[in-house]
Amino acid sequence: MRTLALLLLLVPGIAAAGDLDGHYQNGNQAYLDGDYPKAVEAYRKVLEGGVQHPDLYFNLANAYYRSGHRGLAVLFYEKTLAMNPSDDAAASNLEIVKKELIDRVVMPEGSAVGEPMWHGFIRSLKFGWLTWTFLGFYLLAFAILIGRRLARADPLRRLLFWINVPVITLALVFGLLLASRVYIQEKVHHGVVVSSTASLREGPERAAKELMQVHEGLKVRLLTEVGDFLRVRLANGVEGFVKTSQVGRI
Amino acid sequence: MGRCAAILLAVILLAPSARAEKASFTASVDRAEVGVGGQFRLIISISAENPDQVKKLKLPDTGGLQVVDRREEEAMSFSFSSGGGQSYKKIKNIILVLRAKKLGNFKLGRASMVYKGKKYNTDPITIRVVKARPRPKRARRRPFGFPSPFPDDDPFDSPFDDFFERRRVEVGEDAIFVKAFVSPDVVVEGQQVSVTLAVYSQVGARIIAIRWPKLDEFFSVARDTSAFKTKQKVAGGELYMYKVVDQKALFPLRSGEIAIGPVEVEVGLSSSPFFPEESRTLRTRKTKIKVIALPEEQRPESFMKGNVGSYQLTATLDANEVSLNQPVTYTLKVQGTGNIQRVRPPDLPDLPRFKVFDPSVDVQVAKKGRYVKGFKTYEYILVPLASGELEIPSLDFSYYDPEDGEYRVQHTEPEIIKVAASGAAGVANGAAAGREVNILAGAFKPIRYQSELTGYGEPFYRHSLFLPALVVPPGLYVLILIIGLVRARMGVDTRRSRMRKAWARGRRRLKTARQLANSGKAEDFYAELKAALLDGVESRLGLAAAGVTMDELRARMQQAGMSSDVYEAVRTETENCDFGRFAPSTSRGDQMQASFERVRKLMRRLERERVRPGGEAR
Repeated sequence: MRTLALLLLLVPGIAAAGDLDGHYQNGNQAYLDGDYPKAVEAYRKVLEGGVQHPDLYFNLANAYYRSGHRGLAVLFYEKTLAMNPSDDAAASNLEIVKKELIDRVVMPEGSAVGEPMWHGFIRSLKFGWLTWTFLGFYLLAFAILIGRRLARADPLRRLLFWINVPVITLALVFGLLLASRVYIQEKVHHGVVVSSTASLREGPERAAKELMQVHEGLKVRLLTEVGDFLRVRLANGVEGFVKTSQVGRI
Repeated sequence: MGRCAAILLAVILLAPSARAEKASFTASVDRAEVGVGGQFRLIISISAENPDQVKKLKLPDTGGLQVVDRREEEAMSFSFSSGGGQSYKKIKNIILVLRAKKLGNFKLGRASMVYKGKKYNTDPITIRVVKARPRPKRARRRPFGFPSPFPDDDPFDSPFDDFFERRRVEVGEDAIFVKAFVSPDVVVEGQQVSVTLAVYSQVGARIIAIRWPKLDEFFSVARDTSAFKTKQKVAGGELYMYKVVDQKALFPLRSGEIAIGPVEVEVGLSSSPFFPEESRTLRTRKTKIKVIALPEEQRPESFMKGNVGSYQLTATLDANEVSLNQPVTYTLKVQGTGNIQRVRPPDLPDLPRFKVFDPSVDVQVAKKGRYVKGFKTYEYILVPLASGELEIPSLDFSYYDPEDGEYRVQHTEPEIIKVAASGAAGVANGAAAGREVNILAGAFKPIRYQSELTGYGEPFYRHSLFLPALVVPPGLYVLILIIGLVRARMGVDTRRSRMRKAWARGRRRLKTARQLANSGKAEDFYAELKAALLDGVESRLGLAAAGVTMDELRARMQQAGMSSDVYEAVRTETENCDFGRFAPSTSRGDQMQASFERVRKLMRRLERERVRPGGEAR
């Protein structure tokens, strides 16, 4: 009786997982049939089911690109890379889409603006790998410390000490990298302009003076949200306000 | 010949003097209309080389106007001829201050004089005397800061009036007014009408505000009037300071008769630094213009309403050779005179081989100048979606030229863009023509058909186990450290620990002694038994009893408050043990058992024996 009740509890979850997989396969089939809007619709159903996976993001980006939505394509390629920085296929397709974008951000001469280089390096580190590597060295360092504490023979204690020096150093290095990665993940947000044209304004109002027009696919850093507007910063340091609905968060 | 030259020279030399013989004799008034009781000036001006030679000067009949004052003033003017000669004239002004007593038109008669045998007459002047208005506010006669055209004005004021009153003059409605010049007054729909607003003033004035009426039926463009300078102008026989204060270019949005105005100009009149500024609102007259509808005849199909003026259209492309999907900028520029803001270049036709983005529009209009001039650009971003030679066809731009009164059509040149099929490029949906080239090969990464969609979720640092994973290892290490410290603390050779260890040792030795007794090893048995007993004493006194003499032991035990019986028992058993060790052959098994029992009981007694606090050995 108890087993039956447990099965009844599990059935909805299993069915939901099956539905999501079905939507994913439907999306793939629609994509292969050239029905890209239908593929987008199917992939979005998987997304709305709570699935976060680089493969899903990648397929969705491809479908958006084929549908002519370059902004959304860039957004989901960026999401793919945020989750898996070593995804070469996503990086390659992103480069292709970028060549078709309208906006070219002109960097000012003689001044360092935009995202610091170390941000790019930290972002390139895969979260899972970084976390587990750090935890490995961290736990090993304490294991050696405890072992050394318990050891009575002096030669063994000395050996454990010298083994632990590089282990602790690596634990510290990876700990620092992980902390930086967490900081960037939590504090530094980026987005992509998803509407074909958006106005970059001086203030968070429609009446504010338009600084320039930006187009779909432009990657911006999100600073603050003011009402219906987001304060954003371009790679060259130019800041302005753009409507929240016109930007997708990576 | 010589005579001719002499005559010519004489004529040249005499010419200035001949010109100097001419005189002028004029009469003027400082206003043509005056209120009853008001005063005005009649100025009789004689300009001649020597006014003193004027004879038979007769002043005009004032026609019933009262002469309240008369005075004369003289000035001198020089003139130079191109031939190097010079002449001068004296100017003598006879100023009569007249007062009107009743309503009506009064004719001032002719004045006359005879100068060097020639008679001169002035023209008669008519003065209109109207009903007197309430005493108006006054202002100094310093229009726009310019010196008064009438020096030493107010000659009729009484010297006994106070200073400020003497400096004040009446500012009538005709002393300052505003006028709107509308040009032209017949236009076609969309053609520019210029409205220039100018203030005429004989008094010091400051523009406070200009209020235009609603100009809903026009597209209005403000013009910059900063280049206009203040200048003198005569209006209605009066000298005014004249300044253009505002100008608008109006483009009628409909045909028919449209009224403009009145425009209100609020001015501040300053009468004296000691008096507050007076505000006065001036108004222009309402003006009507006639707007003719654009002709239907010969109107081109491409004509768009608003394209009225004189324009030039140019089309440019920033690159003629690009890779597939590389955007190009196609710019249409309309330049010329007319309503630049409203003018529209031709729309782009349907370009299926391009992705066309909405154009960015830029308008530049010159602010200065009567006519609106400038340019308007439409920048289109075009993304080629197919390779090969793509064409942007010729575009027709038509406009109505009001100067020539006819429509004109301009054509752009067709543009050819060579698009290379880049291997790294992809094609977007809808590029039907782009299917001619298989540009997808090898570059664009396909979808992932098989995926478990698992293994990626929230980063582990957000997992509930992450914090314990960080905290547990150092916690465990700290726990081990604490345990080690406790153990180390327990292992320290203190007095109490020595006593505890001595007791445990005594117990172990007692067990060993029993085993030795059972095995019949008398010597070893007694040695072990003695050691156990001394350990028992040590556990109570904290003193290694093995190395001390019996006297010292007794003293220590007494000091610790232990009874002498205990000491005696210890001493007796110690001696017994020594005897048994050194004469083992005499010891039998039962004796060893008896010794063992005694020592065991003695150790129990020692354990129970009360020891005086501080009596333990240190």
